[in-house]
Amino acid sequence: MKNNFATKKLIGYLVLPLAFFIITLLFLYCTFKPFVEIAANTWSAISGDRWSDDTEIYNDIFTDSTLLGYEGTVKASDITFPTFGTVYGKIEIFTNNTVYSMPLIFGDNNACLKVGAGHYIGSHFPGENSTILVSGHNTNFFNCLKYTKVGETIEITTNYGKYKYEITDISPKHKNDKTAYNLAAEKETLVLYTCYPFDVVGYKVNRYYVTATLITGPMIDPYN
Amino acid sequence: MKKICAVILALVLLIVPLTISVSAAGDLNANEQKIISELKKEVKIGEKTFAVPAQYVNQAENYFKTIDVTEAQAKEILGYIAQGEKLVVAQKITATTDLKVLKDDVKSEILSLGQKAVAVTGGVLTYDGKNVTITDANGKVVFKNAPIIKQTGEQVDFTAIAIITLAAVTLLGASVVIAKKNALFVK
Repeated sequence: MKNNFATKKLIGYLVLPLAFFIITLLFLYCTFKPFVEIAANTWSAISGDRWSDDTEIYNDIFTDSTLLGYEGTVKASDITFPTFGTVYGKIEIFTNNTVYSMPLIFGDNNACLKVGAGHYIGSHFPGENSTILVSGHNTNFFNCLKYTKVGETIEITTNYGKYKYEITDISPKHKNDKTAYNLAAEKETLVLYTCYPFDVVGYKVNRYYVTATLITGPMIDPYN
Repeated sequence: MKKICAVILALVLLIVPLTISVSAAGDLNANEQKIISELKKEVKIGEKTFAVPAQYVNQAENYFKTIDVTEAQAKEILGYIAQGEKLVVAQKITATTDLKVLKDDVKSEILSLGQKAVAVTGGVLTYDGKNVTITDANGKVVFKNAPIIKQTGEQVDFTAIAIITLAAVTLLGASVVIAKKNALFVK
């Protein structure tokens, strides 16, 4: 009888409150972590303190110039190509009546993806008439991909020219599905991807691919 | 294992070219073009034909855009490639076997070729038993055989959850001990 009372008291006063406490904490953590991340990134962008916790990001060669054009040819020897972890341009996604703008970084490790869209180093650069593979987090920079529609525009601005692409395909695919991109292609294609589904926290096996083809932009002459 | 062997073979063909002095040049000069052409060439080993994956060739090309390769360097590089090819071709690979039949000493030799070549200009090749990373003389990554498609979703930080849970359990234990000591459960 005495033991039964003690157990009930233990459950009532300690176990249940603690269980509620832990469950509530977990719930709050899972619910609000993405929003905290977005707020942190936004603040980071506003304050200009973009590299504070990313020791691998050490260079920014991008100067946004209004003088750049969409036409002509650029000599490769006139271009300063980026090394890993370097911001070399910006991406603008025109969708949902908004222009979503973000830095474009050469490299797509965690440090790169914290500060912008990451260009896979085994893919090509805008103007090279091949595939440009770019990733971004689905909770911040590439969250906007969920609004995109076929026919909408994506622009990339670099130090050597401006490129305009039109979205031709949007499809979720398995991360191992290699039909989503062709890194040896001889046609300029911009492939943006992020984890899918958008609103589920944790490890995901699918990716949301937005494929766009070049409308206009200066082509690079690789041998001059 | 099969994947690692493929990476090691690609290393011989790819990593060696990444051992080049640092300067700046966006275009691919004739020396660099020769190396890229060699990398793109299919290699017949035994009864099988192998090709360096496009993502590895692209990484080499992108690296060449940031440096200049001299004729002497290219010659040395092509020599390393030839050595690596010769080494692998000499292995008995048939249509039904694969690069996994390569002996450990052969793999080590291939890796060593790559490392020596990278070290010529201060670069570093690291192989952690799973992944290969090459950094240039400035410590910047120029090659990584990481998966092409990355994890881009929000990850739950289980460390924080574990700490909170541990703290709560400790608190619970301590509460029970204290309660018992003070006879709180006695009616």
